[in-house]
Amino acid sequence: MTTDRLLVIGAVAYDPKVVPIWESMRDYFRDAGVPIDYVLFSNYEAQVDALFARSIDLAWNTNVAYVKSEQRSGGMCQVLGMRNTDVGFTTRIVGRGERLGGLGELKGKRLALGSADSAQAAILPLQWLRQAGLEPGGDVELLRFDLDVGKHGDTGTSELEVLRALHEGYADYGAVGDPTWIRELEAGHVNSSLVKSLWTSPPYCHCNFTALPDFDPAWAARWSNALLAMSYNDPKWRRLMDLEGLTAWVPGRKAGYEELTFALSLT
Amino acid sequence: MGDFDLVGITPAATVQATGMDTGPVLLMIRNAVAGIGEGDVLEVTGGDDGLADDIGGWCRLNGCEVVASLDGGVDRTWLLRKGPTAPAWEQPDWGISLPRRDGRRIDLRDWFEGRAGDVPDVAPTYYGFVPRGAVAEPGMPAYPFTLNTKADVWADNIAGLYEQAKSQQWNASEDIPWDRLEPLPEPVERAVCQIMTFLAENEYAALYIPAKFLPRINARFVEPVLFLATIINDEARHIEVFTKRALANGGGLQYSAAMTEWSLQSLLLQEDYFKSSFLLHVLGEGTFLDLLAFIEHHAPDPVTAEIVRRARLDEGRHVAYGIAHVRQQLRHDPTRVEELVASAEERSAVLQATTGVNPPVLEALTILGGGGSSPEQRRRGGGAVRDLHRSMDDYRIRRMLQVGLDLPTAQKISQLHTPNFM
Ligand SMILES: [Fe+2]
Ligand SMILES: [Fe+2]
Repeated sequence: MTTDRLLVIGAVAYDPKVVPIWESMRDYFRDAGVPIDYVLFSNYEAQVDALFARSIDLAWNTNVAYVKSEQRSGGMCQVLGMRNTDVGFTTRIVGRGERLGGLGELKGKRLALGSADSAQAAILPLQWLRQAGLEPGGDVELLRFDLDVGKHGDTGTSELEVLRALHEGYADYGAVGDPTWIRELEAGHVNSSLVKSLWTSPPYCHCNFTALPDFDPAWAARWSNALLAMSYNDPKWRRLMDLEGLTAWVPGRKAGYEELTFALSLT
Repeated sequence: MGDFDLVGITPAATVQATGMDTGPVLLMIRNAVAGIGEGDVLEVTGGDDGLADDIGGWCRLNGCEVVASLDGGVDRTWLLRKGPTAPAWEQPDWGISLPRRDGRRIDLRDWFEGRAGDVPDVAPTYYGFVPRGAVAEPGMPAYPFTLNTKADVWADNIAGLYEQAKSQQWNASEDIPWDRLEPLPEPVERAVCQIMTFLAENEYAALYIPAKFLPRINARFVEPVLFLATIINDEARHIEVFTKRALANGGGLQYSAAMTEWSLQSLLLQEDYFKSSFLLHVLGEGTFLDLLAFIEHHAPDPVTAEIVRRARLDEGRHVAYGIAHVRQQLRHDPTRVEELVASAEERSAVLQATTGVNPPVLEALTILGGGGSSPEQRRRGGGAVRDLHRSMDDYRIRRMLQVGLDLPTAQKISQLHTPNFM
């Protein structure tokens, strides 16, 4: 395999800030001696198709897009890196009232969910409801905010709608990812004497850089090592890392996607 | 205290969360973590079960680690270890108390205390408008400052000049005895109006040039920025007062010569602050000191005399800054003398293409110097103007010697100086 061309990475343009993030990534990898270019997609389904069509080398995937790639490759994709904040990701069930012993207590209540293709705010919460023996929509009334479908919940707007529904009282509980929850809490946007985190899911993994099974392992290793060397304490890259929501890149891992894989296998 | 012994850790700081909502507690945790060192431990006490999850989430997203969670019954305690990528801030000053002069004044010359008083030799652009001495969060954007070294802008007397500038401010509407203006013989009023037109025109350049450079100065060097702001205000007042005098006594604004505009434009187009400071403050405004003294001496009325007397005091500060600034830079890098010579030569070359004279101003100065327009008065006035040119040349050279130039260089540059005075 040749490395005399640029390594091409796909990313989804879920927000205008994606452009400065990737311009900065391009600068970083040029400095690091593993030059890249990037291609932006409007949705993750198109990005995964492009990965399999080999028009991109790597896909900066959500967990949902990654699991779908694994389904298509027979579980043989390579994971070349992820954010430190992609590890130990949790979903919070937030609402008014007492802490929940388990999701069985949601029976007969109204639950607000984010975008249907968001793992943290819809797919996994629905899976855990079923595990708790509840029929979503039957035992639990669902209030769904299907905003920005195709972006897999990246925009966070549907999670903000969930929090709004809780504040305004037209849902009893809501599901949000912990980055949104913590950020909104700290920013003072949550009335935390009223709306609290009542249940925390088991940890799982979120985004990663996905490559096809036969992507040149030497090139992959060079690129991964360069990625892992990016330092939050270097003022040149700090803004990029702040925008992307991480303080360190960590090696890719394939563990942490089991529940999502199971949930997506049912659909 | 027993809790710490349990895990063998001494916290560097503590956040007391009893009875508080989670949102504000997370904010307190962020600020407390920012103030402790990497690897240090923060103790959070008094939270409830809900806070437990949120502290864990916050640590995951902010490069910290929960190293212990202790259940003390009603209240819980957590120990958080700060990781290398957690929010890190330097420590600000506390306990600063500036001295008072005469038991009451706080003078700019006395404010160089603690971090605020630490004027760097070279300033990074990413401090932007962070007041010098304040603690900047990492990750700030760079500003388009281009004057980023102390040598670029500093002058030893800068704080004192700023204090002087404030105490010598005046109001062109109130502080000039406009009620004492009487009608003058027409040729004399015309001469005054012509001179006021010329002065006002030059004052525009004196305002626009520092205003152009001010936003290029790194805000770490705030004293020169503050002082330039006073220059800008002084020049605004000069434009105002000279224009008012031309319009006040039955005359009006008179002629402007192309040579003046060529001269001022060549000054305005100078993009190098060192050269600009030399050409404007040392040579231009320096020469104006002598011009204003001449006008005051020969003023036909007390109002004109008072106007130029006050303007001259202001100009004295501008010249003092220019001399100290250029001297400081030459001390820092003596080879820059060549740039001064070159800048004077370049400007002289531009002005070669002009007539090199300003007939209306020359005649007006002659009439003023002679006290009227009769042949005898013009003869006397002509002599006074020749003396003025000689003293301008003489003082220009002296100012350049003060700056640190040698005599031959000073003489050469003085010869090249614009016939427009500024
Ligand atoms: Fe002036
Ligand atoms: Fe001036």
